[in-house]
Amino acid sequence: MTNAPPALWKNAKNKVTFNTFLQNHSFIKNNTPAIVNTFLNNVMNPFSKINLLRLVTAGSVDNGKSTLIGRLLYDSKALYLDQKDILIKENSFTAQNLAYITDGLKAEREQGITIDVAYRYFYHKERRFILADTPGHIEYTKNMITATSTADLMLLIIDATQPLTEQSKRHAIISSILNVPHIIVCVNKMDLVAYKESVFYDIQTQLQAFLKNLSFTTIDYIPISAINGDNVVTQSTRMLWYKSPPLRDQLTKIKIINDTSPHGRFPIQHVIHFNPKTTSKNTLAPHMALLKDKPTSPKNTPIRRYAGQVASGVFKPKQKVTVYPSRMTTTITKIFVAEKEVPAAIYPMSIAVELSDNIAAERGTLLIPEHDHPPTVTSTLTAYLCSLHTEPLHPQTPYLLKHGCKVVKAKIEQVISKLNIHTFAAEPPSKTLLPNDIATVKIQVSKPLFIDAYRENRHNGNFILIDPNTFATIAAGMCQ
Amino acid sequence: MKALSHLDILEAEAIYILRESRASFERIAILFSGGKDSITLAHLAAKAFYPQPIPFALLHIDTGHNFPETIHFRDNFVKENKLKLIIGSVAETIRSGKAQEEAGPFPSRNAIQSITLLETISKHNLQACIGGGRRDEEKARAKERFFSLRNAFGEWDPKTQRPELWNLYNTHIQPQENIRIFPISNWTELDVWEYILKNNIAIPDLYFAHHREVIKVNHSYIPVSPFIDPTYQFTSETKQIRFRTIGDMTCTAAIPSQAKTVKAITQELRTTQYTERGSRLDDKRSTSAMEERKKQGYF
Repeated sequence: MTNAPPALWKNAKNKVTFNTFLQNHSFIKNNTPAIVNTFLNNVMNPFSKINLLRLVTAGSVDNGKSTLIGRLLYDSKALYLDQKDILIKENSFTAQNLAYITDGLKAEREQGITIDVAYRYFYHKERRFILADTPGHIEYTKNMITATSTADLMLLIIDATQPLTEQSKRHAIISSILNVPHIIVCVNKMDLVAYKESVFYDIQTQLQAFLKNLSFTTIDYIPISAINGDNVVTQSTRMLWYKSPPLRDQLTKIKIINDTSPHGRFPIQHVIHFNPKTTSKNTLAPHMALLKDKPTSPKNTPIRRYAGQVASGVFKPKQKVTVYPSRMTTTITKIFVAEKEVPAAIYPMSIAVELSDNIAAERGTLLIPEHDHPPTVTSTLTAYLCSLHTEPLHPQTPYLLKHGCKVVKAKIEQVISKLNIHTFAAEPPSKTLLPNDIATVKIQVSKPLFIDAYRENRHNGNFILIDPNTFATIAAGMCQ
Repeated sequence: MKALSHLDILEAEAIYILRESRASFERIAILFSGGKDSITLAHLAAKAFYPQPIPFALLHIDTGHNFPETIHFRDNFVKENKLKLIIGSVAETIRSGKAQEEAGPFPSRNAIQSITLLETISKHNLQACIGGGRRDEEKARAKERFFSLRNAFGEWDPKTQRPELWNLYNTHIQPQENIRIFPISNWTELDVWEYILKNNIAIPDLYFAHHREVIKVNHSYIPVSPFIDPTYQFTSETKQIRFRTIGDMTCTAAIPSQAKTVKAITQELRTTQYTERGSRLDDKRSTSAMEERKKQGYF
């Protein structure tokens, strides 16, 4: 492992923590009613009890990823008897074929590989898990990127009997570029190396050198045997030298880093118009329990609510906000989650706000707290681009770019450098982006966008490219 | 105010997707079966656009083999909420000769249903349909996207699905293409029930334990109905049962249950050893029954 990834994937410096943010932004802390402070303490604490962990698996083909998931589900009793019946009927209920549980498609079972992401759900104690099982084959890397984009944690499965593969390193780099905060390395097939401590620590040492250059907040290593269940759900009795808890306990206990930025960003997705005087009483039936709070107003004036999902930061009533692109200032008067008024809103709440002024806000408009750190307003983006297409991407070709709720025209001006996935070095510029290429590019867009660096704001620093003829999704971008 | 629960997060995700659906398509409908998932979906749509009326029509594919309770519930639901209902009739498809009734004691109209659905989509020129499908239901569904493209023939190609990153959904389609949208993809059966409990959502009585005349077929209890082949000899018994899914009377099996309230159902689900669709005869026909149906245009 001589080649470290370039420093540009290292952790962003000056990451603002929630507490320093609160100290610096008196408009949040001062003069806020107790209810808002309670809300913020409960919800905005980066280690709050949001007990939904989204994890993604990665690793090379044949490292035993699907087997591990089969084992995790089987031992967590998340498999039902009739699923097992089918396995028994097909005569495949062996430890080796635990993988069949996640390989859902006929073609996958026939070929014995995973083609597309399969999502699985299980619980342990108070924590809910959404697990995305991803394909290991290089031609399906796009599906791996799909699953990783929303993940809080990557499970990287390494084969103890094999040298570390490029595909495994590639997966770690992708999750680092996508800013996944946690990684757990499972060194699998320990049964085939006689559960030897030295094998595990050799691999750990090799990986430490490589992973330290990536941006993970936490890195953990676990020796396992997915086939036999060692250290998956139950502590292995064959590796007493390993003192930490088994995988499922670690997944249950890990404190999920809330990686959203403290800077407020609220992209408007949809405008809800209604007239309180004429909104029918029967808009919603009593059995839906929504009618009780029907808005009423003596005035016969239409009301607008601006609906969307908070991308980052805190929004609350009485807060002054700047509207992009007009830069006009207005005040949030009320915030709703459906029919209920709420004292504050944060990521990932889907809300609707009322404003004090009748401003020209529409889908694609962005609201930002008045004195908050502003986004970059630009028509030229420098970004990491992951090609997801089966054809090469060419500079100067017209594409569509979707950022937040906005779609604009775009073209790649220049490929600045490509990441060599074999040496992990930045390569000199090239003309085109081949399938599965990852590169730093400069992109020109037809209308200014209001962006943040992806490192600082996962939800306002991302975009996708769409082919304007076939409408295929052809690339994933992360602003620098 | 308490911390966001997992239900709050799933609700926010579904509302975001419903608003994105509205912003992207003019002609769009909710696939409404009268089952708990589509009822939950309609409820989420009411929340997403509150206090505007639900901006989607409801589309029901009427197989003609429905439980009368489902149809009754559907009609009340549409009336009370002042919604627009589009009905696609499988019986009509059979009468017109475009499909043939299955043989056997429990003839299923499941496969033909896809033909009726595609006909109805094309008749109303719908660009998108919103469905209550969930990834935890079945292994082909586990691979489904939120915004799932169907080609001009209504087919799903699991091998060439669009990558779906973050919450940036690509809703662009060619004129003949169609999108199926699944806002509650990430919900489990238990999540749906906990949400129904939390929001006090009305659902058909079929979901609650009641006494009914049933036929024991292998390990499943099939309700006695007028749709069973009249030449089929059977012995029935009266049992206290409830339904976990609601489909055709011919393929929806009941489970023995004591659960008479939503709360009791959530408790029952926490201890069950069987999957939700485990007793559905339509899924039992082969290990890839759902995958094959989906490729042909099924929900």
